[in-house]
Amino acid sequence: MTDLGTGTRALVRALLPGTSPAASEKARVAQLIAGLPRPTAGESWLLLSVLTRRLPLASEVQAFRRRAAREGVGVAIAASVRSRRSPARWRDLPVHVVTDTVLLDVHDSAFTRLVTGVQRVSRSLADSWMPRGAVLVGWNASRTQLLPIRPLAWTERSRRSPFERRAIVPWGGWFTLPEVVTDVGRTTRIAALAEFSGARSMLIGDDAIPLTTAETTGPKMPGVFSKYLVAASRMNVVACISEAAATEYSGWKSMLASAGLEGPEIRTVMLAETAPVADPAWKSRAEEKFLSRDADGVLPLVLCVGSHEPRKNHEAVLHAAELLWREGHRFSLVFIGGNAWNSEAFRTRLAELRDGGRAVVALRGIDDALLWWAYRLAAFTVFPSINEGFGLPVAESLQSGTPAVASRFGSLAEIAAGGGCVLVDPHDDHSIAHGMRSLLADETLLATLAAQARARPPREWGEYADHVWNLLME
Amino acid sequence: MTSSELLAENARLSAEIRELRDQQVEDWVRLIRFGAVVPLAIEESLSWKLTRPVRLAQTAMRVLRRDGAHTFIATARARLGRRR
Amino acid sequence: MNGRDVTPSLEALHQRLGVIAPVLLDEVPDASVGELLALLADAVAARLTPANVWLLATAIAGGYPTAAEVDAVRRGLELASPTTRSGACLAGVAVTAAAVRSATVTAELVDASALVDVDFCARNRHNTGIQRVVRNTVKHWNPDVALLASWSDDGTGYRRLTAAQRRLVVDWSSTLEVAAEPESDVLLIPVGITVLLPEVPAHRYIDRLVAIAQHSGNRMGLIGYDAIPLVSADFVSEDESDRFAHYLTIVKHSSVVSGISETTADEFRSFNSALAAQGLEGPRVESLLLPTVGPATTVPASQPRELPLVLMVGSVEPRKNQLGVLAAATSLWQKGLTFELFIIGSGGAVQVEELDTAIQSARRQGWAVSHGKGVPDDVLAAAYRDARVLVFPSLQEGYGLPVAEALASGIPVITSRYGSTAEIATFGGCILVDPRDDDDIARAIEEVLVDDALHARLVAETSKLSSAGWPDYAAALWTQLVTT
Repeated sequence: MTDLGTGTRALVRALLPGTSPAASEKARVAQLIAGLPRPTAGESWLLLSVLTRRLPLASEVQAFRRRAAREGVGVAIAASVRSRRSPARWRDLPVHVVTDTVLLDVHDSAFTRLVTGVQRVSRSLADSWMPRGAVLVGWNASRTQLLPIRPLAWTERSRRSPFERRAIVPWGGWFTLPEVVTDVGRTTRIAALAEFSGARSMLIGDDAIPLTTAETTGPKMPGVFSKYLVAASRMNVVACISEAAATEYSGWKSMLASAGLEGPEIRTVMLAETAPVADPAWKSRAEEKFLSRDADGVLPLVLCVGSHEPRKNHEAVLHAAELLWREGHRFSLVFIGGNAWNSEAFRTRLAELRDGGRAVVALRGIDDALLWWAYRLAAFTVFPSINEGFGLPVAESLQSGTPAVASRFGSLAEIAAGGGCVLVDPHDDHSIAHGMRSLLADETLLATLAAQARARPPREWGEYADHVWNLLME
Repeated sequence: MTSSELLAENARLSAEIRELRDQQVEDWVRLIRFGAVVPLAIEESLSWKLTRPVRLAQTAMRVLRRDGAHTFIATARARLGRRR
Repeated sequence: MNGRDVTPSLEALHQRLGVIAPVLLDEVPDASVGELLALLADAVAARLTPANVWLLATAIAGGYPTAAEVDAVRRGLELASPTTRSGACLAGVAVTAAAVRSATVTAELVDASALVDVDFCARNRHNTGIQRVVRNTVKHWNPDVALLASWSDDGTGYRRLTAAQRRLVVDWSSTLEVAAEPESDVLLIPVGITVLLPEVPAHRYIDRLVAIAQHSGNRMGLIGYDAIPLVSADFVSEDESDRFAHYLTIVKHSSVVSGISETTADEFRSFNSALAAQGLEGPRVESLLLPTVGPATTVPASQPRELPLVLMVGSVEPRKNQLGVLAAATSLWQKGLTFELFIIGSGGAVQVEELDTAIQSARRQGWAVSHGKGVPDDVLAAAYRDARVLVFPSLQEGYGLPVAEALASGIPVITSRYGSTAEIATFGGCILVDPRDDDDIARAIEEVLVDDALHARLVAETSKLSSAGWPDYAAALWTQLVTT
């Protein structure tokens, strides 16, 4: 990382390489006016970022260039300086221009203590890249400045402000966004940064579900996600977490031609597949919590992990299970879910089945330690999702040595290709029942798939982070 | 029983089934259109007990709004008699 | 008793069940409403296809079910015993049934090749873009095979158009006056035909349309206009992108889309390729370029204007790029060229104010530029007649009506070198530019102002335009969407 300093000194160093910044502010402005009679979009972006101390929007960059063309760059620069928000300069954080720097935007992850699937990606990249000199960044409250995150604050996950007392503006270098950003103020400035800063920019592409499967997403999400994709369209490369995610992103990318845009390169770096060793101290508690018995003993445990939302298709699992119970199959069905959205149908149906005496339960707030035991205690897991970017619960099940019933297309089919799975059509209740039945009725098949699952080599998060780094550095 | 007595019995039972089924449909329509509370005389009638049509203490729309569509459907389903 | 008479509702329900009975039963006996329901429930339980479930659910409810309701009825029927099947069906469609406001909705099976949704045109006098395409197309279809329909006011099902609505759709003119009439009480039930969506349906209908496309056994055909809310989301509101994403949930289960340009068709093909990740193929995609037809009104020639006229037509918004044209024109005025720039079009308050402020600034420099909002037809026609050139460097279009109108009026056009406008430009008469480059736009305007030979050659090329009009488009579209 090279720090060019602040203010007009930094601008002269960045935009007029080979020129020494003059001694006074006025002289440096004159240097810039003389050296940049017709500033390019990139040069305009940097001028605005430093002079106004805010990262500009694309429309502001364009307006600046048009003003410069119409009235001269000196007038445009003077107008930008006048438009600075805070009159008292001492209140502002100093704004440093940095080159040759790898920036990793982990704003949302910095403020949460959760380590769900999404945060795991950010955490693994951050932990692996920080020793290589990458700078973790977040945003100020108005989403107009990039603020470096103090490394100690990141590792300690401290509640106090994690930011350093300065803002940075990248000029060239690298910029990576591993989060799905729903804050439109932030995505519009990232879009402009990707377009104009000269940095090689990368997005981690989870999926395009809000566009391709909008019937399963919450209200507002497709609109917000469309703005996120504007930023994606200005980036150099999208590192998709599965081939299925790459299929969705590639389809979106070819649509950009109608707006005369090329869009980013679409590549795939599959997520890690690991499961920590289950702590023996938790085993008996797990057995108590998850296993059920009938007159003939412990019932085989069928496990379904995932949030309760339409896309996960849990109502189909309930229907398939009821068909199997009526056929006389012995098993208990346990759902372990975190969030729930639009899950009334599931919850009422679940209550009906329980009222009817079926061995089914939905649990929430389960500690990770217990969850790993649930995977191990289960005969098999079920995950007939309608659309997934990846499908961590299937990977976790397989790495725990437990076969999985999974959807026969998309990312789940990709994961299944490594062995240990039964594939089903998630749109067909009977196909799901058929898949579950084959594992309930055929012990040999169950044992074969369990052996396949155990034989799957793990892929560590460190490896994932390395692959993404190499792609960034291409 | 003679064959004519059997035929008569058959016709009587068919008529009863038809009446129960029509009553079930009528109760559903009444619920959908008016969310009606059904008086005790109806509640104790044979048709009511046997077919277990939807019995809700509140108007349909209020239940819908308070508990949401799926609870409403499930309640309706439960009370229209889904036996295993 | 509570004194409320449900007899009319029961009779209507009985009628609806009777209308679908021949489709589901080999023999239709004389039966009471309860018996008939039981027979139909048994028949569907014996052949539990989504189409049968959708049909029965529709008839019971008096409106089209959502996909979730179809699933609920199907699952309920599968698990019910013979005595509880009717109950499962009644309960499963309760929500849609409650949404049907009229107590006496009867039904008719659609006896036509296609059921055509013209809801927006039937209710609104607005006539730009999509409405112009729809109104100019459906009037050429034979009413015996194309049944025009609008949604019921409660949004639960299609109805035949009232006489007033029909006039708004097939007899529209800018001076047409119609008085609203009460809507029909007859639910149209399509069985095994094509449901056509030549408009972009309103958000409130989408759940039911998805169920029709996915489950009802009818084919669904659409006109595809563009994917601007997805591809150029920076130019539209989040709500618009949101609505478009929900529109795509219908598209992905449809049978065929006809794009109004090859550009639009490619957008839908690209969307189809993304669907592989969820195990879907999406619709067959065709394209049919809209006819190049001139503006509705023409006016006779009059005195020539003082300055050459550079014309821009289009809604005022960043995507159309009025500020880019103004910046290009400014650099030419600063160089000393003299010409008049006339920008015609209206838009949102913020965009219009931004444009007008820039225009006022230019006028203070003494340059001839003006902005016409809500311009009457004859002024627009005069502009098309007199202009030296139309400048239309839009950043994205599904088609680009002003380009076609200008060429049909015999004036050359400067427009974007990619997308649908480039397709129209293959007829001739155009200069293509990079719309994101103000200098490129300026160069093109300068050329056409200064080089009379070039201008004459471009004007000559405009006469080579295809003469195919709306009747040809309507016939070709019918073939693509219904008979193929």
